[in-house]
Amino acid sequence: MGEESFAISTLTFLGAAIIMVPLVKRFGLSSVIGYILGGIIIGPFVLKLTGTGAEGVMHATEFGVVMLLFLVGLEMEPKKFWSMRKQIFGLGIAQVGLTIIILTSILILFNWEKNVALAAAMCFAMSSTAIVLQTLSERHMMHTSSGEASFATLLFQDIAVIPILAILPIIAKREVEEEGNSKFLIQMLPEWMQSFSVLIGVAGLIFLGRYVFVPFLRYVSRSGMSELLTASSLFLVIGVSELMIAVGLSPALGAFIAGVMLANSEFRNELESNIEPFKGLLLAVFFVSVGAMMNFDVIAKDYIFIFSLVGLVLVVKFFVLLLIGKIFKIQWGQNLFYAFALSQVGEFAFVLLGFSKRIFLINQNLFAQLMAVTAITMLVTPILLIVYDKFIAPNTAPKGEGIDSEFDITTSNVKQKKIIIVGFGFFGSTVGRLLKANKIAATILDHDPERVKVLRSYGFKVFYGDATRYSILEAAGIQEAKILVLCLDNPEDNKQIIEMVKEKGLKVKIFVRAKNRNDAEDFLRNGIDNLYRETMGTAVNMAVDVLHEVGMRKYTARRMGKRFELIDEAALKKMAKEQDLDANSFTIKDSILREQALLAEDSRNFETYHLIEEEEEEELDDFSKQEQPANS
Amino acid sequence: MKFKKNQYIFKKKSYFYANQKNLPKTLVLFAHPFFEFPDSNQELIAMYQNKEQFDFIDLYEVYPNFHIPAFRERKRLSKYSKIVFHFPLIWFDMPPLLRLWLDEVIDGSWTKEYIDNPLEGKNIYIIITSISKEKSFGENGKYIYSIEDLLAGFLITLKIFKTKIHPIYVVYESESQSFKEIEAHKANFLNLINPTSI
Repeated sequence: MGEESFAISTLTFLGAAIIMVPLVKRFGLSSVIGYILGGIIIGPFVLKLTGTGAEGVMHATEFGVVMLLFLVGLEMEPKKFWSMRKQIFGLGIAQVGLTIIILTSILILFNWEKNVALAAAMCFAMSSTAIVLQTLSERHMMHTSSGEASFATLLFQDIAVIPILAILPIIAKREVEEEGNSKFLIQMLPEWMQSFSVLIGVAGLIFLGRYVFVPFLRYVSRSGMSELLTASSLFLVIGVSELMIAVGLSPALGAFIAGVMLANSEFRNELESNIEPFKGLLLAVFFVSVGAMMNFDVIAKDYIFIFSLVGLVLVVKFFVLLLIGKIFKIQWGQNLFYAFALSQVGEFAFVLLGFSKRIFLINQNLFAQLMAVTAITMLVTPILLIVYDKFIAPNTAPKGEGIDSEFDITTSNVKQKKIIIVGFGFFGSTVGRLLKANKIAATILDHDPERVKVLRSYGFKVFYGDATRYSILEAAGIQEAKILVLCLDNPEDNKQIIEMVKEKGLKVKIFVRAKNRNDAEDFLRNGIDNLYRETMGTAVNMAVDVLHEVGMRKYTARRMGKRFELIDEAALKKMAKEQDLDANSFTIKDSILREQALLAEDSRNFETYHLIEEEEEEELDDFSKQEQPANS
Repeated sequence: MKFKKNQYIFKKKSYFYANQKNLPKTLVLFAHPFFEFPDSNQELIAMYQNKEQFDFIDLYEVYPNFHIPAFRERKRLSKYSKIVFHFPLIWFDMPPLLRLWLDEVIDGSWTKEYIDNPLEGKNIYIIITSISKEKSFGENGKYIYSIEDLLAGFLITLKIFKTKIHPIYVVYESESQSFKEIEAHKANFLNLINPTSI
């Protein structure tokens, strides 16, 4: 595969992603389905756009998984990681071991050769890090108990790939011809130390993370050039994964540990925002290439075999996961999600299958069939999760980590209250405290299990639940509630809830927190009048104090501040009305133009004393007419 | 009929008072900083409700921040021929927000001859509630001053802007009024505003 064909395939893949993902998102499906469908459409069986490049592209973009794990590592402090060790090895060994044993025995029952059955079972024991982590982060479920269990299992699978790669030649009873010098570092060690390669690699990384990475990043950042930091972020991730390959370890594992080591450093946010786009891009292309690799000829030729194998693998993995979830005391609803999420065969299978074919453990035909099985299970996962969401989650919704069932909105008996507060961080808790001080009861929802635990311990009756899901709002009593107070950090989440409530035609009055002007205009266009810009009041108070500091009387300054607020609000409403309704996506140039319009409005309103009076008050007149619920 | 808290402005068409349709438009400026504590005002202000004639403004509900947009208030004045000031006596004076309303809205230049005076010729009605007894006011009472004495500044201000001030109507012992007494007060005061009706 030449350089050019790689670039062209990547281009095609990105194109497919750009077209398909917004489409499936519109149907409320996971982006992964969009990517894979896009891949199938451009693949050799529909549009024939990809040629033979797909496999190459897939291998190149597996690097996205490495970056994904690096980012996950960044979110996890070393302490937290250390406390997860039991989960990683317990869940991991149980899952991989049990799946391999059961699948092998069943396959042997169906007259497979023993060594082929074992090899296939080993490949099928792996789950897809890319799909599962993508799904978890899309659903904000990384910190739930099923999220952590999934993650621990995936991490162990990452580690397990190495020994499996070592075992495969043994069961093939064949010497592998050495693949270059890719493992040269580990081979320089004495024989007895080679078996401890994992430990040596991890220890090396921990050392590097502590004494090399941070000083290195500090050195780079002193140059003050942001592109250098991006470059060194990439350098770090690629460097670590190459290093791990060199010592014969999984690059994903290496990247994860590097991430963990940097989680406490001051560069965390910088690294995150630098790597994030690359990760997204690579993963997108990776998913598309999975779709493009679906070989429909192979599937059509022996579809009974393929689909029964798909069914078998999914069922066996599902029940194994369910069983070990039960053993590890994961709550039932969480356990179901865990079992559904990890039931597919992952991208490591592509690597392992390719390797098995190279050592003549499986023949070309079986290889193609197993590859197809793998790709189909990956495509099935998002569909299974939809089934889970629609039919199973409403009855056994996933709960937060360590959340007692009485904390969980879906399982507790919630007394109907007039007010529902969604989001109880710094913003929401201020609202809640003022209400509570005045003995106004409200049902409080938050989606951060840690925060719920802390608040509960201080006697705040806060429920755990992700309010962007309607079933949760329903459990909180949205049907009968009079007021819905939205204080979530993320404006998109607030918007989503508003849309949901409007769609259901509920009469509840909505009060919403807005990040800034643009948000506020958005809400206004959605017909929400009670919006609170978090930056507005504080900024005005600050300006009032500055005015006083330069000599204005305090009372006069306060009056000017108040007047400014009213004028600004009127201007906001005016501009929101003038904006096109479909101008939801605006460019930077747009927002600069709007800023100019705002300043022009200001100078009109504040120019001379007389003008102020008339113009301002006229504005106010319009504005307050809307404000007052006149019963005329 | 209970007056709902957030209905601080109402202009409902009334079918019961169809015969009053041609009555002069009347602006009611109501100021009460402690409205949620029961005195007779909750019942008294019901007399403005559901009547075409009255535009009722609860100042403490409309301007909770004590920021009064003067221009709007001035513009509003021109629509009415009668203005009612309705407030409880607080420490022998009017509530501070009403005082602020006067300060912000009334412009000294209106007394000059060549300048339009929006207050000129308006009929002013004042209804005051007080928790004290009637006999406590005036020379012989323990407060020495009469209510007119206490509100002298207000009355003079209204006078120099050439308004027509009608006698102050006072509801004494406002915390212990019976239903019947309140009904009587309502009727009396409405009769004061619209002498021909009822």
